[in-house]
Amino acid sequence: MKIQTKFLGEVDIEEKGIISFSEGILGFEESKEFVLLDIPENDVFKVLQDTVHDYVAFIVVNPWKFKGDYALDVPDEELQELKINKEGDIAVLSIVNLSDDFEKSTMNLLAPVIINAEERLGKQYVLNSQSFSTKEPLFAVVEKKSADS
Amino acid sequence: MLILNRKLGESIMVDDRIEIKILDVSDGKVKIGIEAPKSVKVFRTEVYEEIKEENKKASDVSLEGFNKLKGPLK
Repeated sequence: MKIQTKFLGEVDIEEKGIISFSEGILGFEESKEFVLLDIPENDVFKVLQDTVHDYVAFIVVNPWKFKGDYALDVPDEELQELKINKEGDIAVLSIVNLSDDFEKSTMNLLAPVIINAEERLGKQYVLNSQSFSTKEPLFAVVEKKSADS
Repeated sequence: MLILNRKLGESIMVDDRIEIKILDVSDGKVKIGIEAPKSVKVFRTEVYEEIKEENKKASDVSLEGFNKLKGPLK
């Protein structure tokens, strides 16, 4: 099926690729169905596109690509809600806040998007953690280096 | 909204499994203890507001900004 997207014009998607977010995304409670889209020539970031509201889309990233020591503890009840039974079922994505100065972009590690790719279920889960923020710099290490020099 | 008066040390039970206790009141601040099963999510309202705000900002990317992502990363 063809959908209109925020960044990539009209895109042909497979219906079985649609992921249901029964609670929506915080602040976007109307957005219940998303699809993950590749970005041309970029295999680091993806677009989480609302399939109904074309103007709702988020840039997302595998948080471990930028934060190797990221850890999250999701209670069993939450996992069951997404029908996640084994570790292989779970995909974790962080919503990226792109900055005009790309190096200053941040990602939201406090409220990751958790997806069961097999069952096509997803939600934004708020971690019960003091360790991670909603504005974690993508390039913390790079910034530190330049400050040292 | 249900409004209840509670004194220091008194508590409220919600849904037979969540106890909310007034631990301290001083300097215009109330210290609240919450005992609930792990599955019950308890957060300061500001946390949700912050996440909503962050999501809104994250979705507010211009096509121009997005297009910078196209092509190999340095």
